[in-house]
Parts: sequence; structure tokens; C-alpha cells
Amino acid sequence: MAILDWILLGAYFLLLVLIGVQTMRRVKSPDDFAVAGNRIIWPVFFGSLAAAFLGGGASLGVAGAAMRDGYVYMFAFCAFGVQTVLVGYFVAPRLKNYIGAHTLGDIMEAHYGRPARLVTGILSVVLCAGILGAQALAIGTVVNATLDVPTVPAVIIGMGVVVLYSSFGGAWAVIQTDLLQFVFLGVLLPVALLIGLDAVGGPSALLDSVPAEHLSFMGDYSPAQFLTLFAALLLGETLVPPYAQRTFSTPDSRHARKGYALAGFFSFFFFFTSASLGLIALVLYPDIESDQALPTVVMNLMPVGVLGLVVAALMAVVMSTASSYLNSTAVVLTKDIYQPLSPAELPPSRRLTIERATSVVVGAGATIFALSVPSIVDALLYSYTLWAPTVIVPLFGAVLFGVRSAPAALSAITAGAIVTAVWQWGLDAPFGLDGLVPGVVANLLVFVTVAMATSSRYPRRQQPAVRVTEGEFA
Amino acid sequence: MIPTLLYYGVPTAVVTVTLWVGFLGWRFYVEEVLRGDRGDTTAGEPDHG
Repeated sequence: MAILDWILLGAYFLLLVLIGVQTMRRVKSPDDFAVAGNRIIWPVFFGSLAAAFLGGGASLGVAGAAMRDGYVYMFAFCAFGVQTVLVGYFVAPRLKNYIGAHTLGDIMEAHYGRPARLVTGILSVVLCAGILGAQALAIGTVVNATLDVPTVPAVIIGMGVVVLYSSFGGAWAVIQTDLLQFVFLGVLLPVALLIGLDAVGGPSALLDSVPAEHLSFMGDYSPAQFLTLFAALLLGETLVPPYAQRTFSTPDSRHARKGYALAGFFSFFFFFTSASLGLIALVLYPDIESDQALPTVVMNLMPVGVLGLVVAALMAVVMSTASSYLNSTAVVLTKDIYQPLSPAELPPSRRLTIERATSVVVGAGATIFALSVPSIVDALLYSYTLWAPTVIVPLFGAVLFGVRSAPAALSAITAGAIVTAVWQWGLDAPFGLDGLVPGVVANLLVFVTVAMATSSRYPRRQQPAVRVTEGEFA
Repeated sequence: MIPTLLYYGVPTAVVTVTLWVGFLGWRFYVEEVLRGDRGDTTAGEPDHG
């Protein structure tokens, strides 16, 4: 990289820290730290949510898999976009009925009692820590491939900046830096694609140069392989804690629906951009490792000046996701695990201090975790496995249908976790089917059966608005 | 024709939407963070949509 590129990259990091410092004065309470005081309007919600979910998997992962397998991986990845649009349209607006909610544990407790909050909190932390670790690892991959800096110091420096602005400015900083990162990646990755297309001789030359199966819908995948991947990506990251937290940060259900659903639509276009960059890498650099597809295209094709910004965009992709999960982990640990287990109600100022301190500790822990996980996409899918088969069905049952049966929720969570664990790790995923799928089926069956059996004792809630701080189990 | 539309249209659409959202986000940042405007009191109230 030329000196101009280094200056631009350094300016980008300084800007992130500056936003952290500027937003710090807006953080006066746990409400500000967790949900930015419910002030986030839909375009900002849209950009920050898109930046949060368009992480290493959606950029480096999709580009690498498209180089290896073709567009089939992109089509499977579109399951995530489909899920996002559906959740945005049907579920996200209803989350705003829970006044004062910061976490999914707030909703679970309002319907199913404190044990459900604790279990949800623990599962949330496991998921967030896994994905945070994967993003930290991705920072190392990007920096190592583009700047030739060794992985360990790259991860430490990148995560250091993330921890700095996340703990200063909480959700305000995370959302605002997300938006900046959204602009970086939403402008520079498409620009990289346009420059790459020019380098291969245009769209027709690109299509003529890649193997035919790389362009087909199913590629080399068997139907079972495709459906398993599709189901895993459809269910795996459904309404994970950072997305729920973003939704809580909007002023009302209209903003929640619009921002969430539009981010889902936008993701289809982004996946196409990433996958096409993978195909360009296949044409221009057929001998590289597939997970180096995106960084290699960027490093070799971008002109001076633009290169520094594109490297910043690649960093933005992973850092925005990392900061979102870091903030969520800190909020969930404090609100859903530490507070319910502490003998007295924590005063807001103390909770804010604990959330900030937790951000620092979790960030450091995730950095260590990251350095021991080998692959970005594998790590993401590994973290996905237990989320959907446990929390999602009881959560949707509560939010969409007002179900309040604690036995139904807790038994469904247990059944889903056991079936997933046995299938995935005990039986080693028979038929190539991800444990997530039988886990969700078991979770759904148990939840519906027990909820119906206990419906007279736990009648469904009719009123749409619940003040979670005064929930009936609180 | 279709490949040309797809390969040039999609990145152009992504850039356009991103810049528009970025502009609205910048306006929001100036109002909310730099000026610290807390005039609107609708925060946290559901409209049951």
C-alpha cells in the first residue's frame, strides 16, 4: 500500500474513535447504552442493521464460497435475506409493544418468568461470544491478506478500537459507527466489483470465463446439501440479540418494520456483489485459496487512495458486526444474567458502569477466543447451531400469539437443545443434515404440545403492550 | 443485455441506496449527537402497528 492509502486507513480508525468520544456524552443511562434512548429512526436503523449482519460471512465468506462453488452458495445465503424480510415485516414491529425492553430476555421474562430470561441470557451470550470471536478472527484475515500484518497483532489492534468506541459510546457509538461502516462497504465493494469487471473484460467475458456449474442455481450441490445449508442460513441467525436490540432502539413499530424489512431486501443485492467478486477472483487469480478471494481482488485491482478506503471498507464489514455483538453481550450479561442473580435491584448508574466494564472484559475474551478458531464461516455456523432450536419458537410464540406457558417454553428450549446436540455432535449429523433442523422441529413440536396442554392454566395474553419493567413475573 | 444490466445495475443500485441512507444518517448524527436535540418525545411509545 502507498502512503496515501495508509493515511486514509488511519483516518478511518481515528474517525471511529472520534464517534465513540462524541457519542459518549449521549450515554447517561443504561437506556442510552443499550438502545440509544429509543431515538433511532428507520434509515439509521436500516444502515446499522445491514452493517451488523453483512459481516465476514456475507462478504469474505460469500466471495470465497462463490469462488469455490459458484453462485449456488449465494442463492443459499439468500435464505438469510428472506428471513430478515419476514421477521422485519411480521415480528419486528411487535417487539416495540414491549415498552422499556433492552433484550430478548425482557420479553421472555414478561411471558414465561425469570428462568426463561436466564436461559435466554445464557444462550444469547454463547451465540454473541461465538460470532464476536469469528469477527475478530476475520479482522486478522483481512489485515493479513491486505496489509501483510501478522494475524495476532492485527486482531488485537482491530478489536482494541472496537472495544474502545463500544465501551465509550454504547449503542449510540455502535449504531453511528455502523452507519459509517455501512457507507464504506456499500460504496466501495460495488466500486471494487465495477473495477474488477473492467479487469476481466466486462460481464460477458466474466460469464464466459467461469465454469458453467458456477453459474447454475444448484451448482455441484445435491438437493439435500442445498436445502440443509438453506435451512441453516434461514433459521440460524433469526432475530439474534443485536438485531433485537437494534429493533428496540427505534422510536415505534413503523420505524422498526421499515428499517428491518428494507435491510433484508438490501442484503440480496449485497450478496450478489460479494459473490460476483468471488467469481472475478476465480478468473483473475485461480490459484489462490478461496477465503482470500475478496482481499486479493481488492489488493491487486484498486488504485492508490481507493485501495486504502477499500481496505477500510473490508475492516468496516467485520468491525461493525463485532461491535454490535460486543455491545449485546455486555447488555445481556448485565441485564439477563448478573442483575437477576444479584440480591438487590441495581441502580441505573451502577448498571451503566457494569455494562461498560463488561464490554472491555468480553472484548478481550473474544480476542483470545478468535485466535483459536480456524475458519470464519465454520465458526459462524457453529455459533448458529444452538440459537434457533432453543429460543426462536418460544419467542415468536410470545410475540406473535401471546403464549405465556412457562412449562412450554422451558421444555421446548430443553428439547431443542438436546435434539440438536445429539444430532450434531452425538450422531455427527446423519444424512449431512445440520442439527439445527431436527432441533427446530423438536422445539416446535414440544412447544405447541405443552402450550396447548397447559393453556387453561396459562391463558394467552390479549393486550398488545407490556411494560417489561413491571411484567407480571418481575 | 441482461448480464450487463445485472452486473452494472446492482452495484449502482447498492451505491445509490447507500449514499442516500448515509446522507439521512449524517443529518441524524448532526441533530442528535452533535447538537444533542431531544425535542421529540415519542421515544419508547408503541403504536401497535
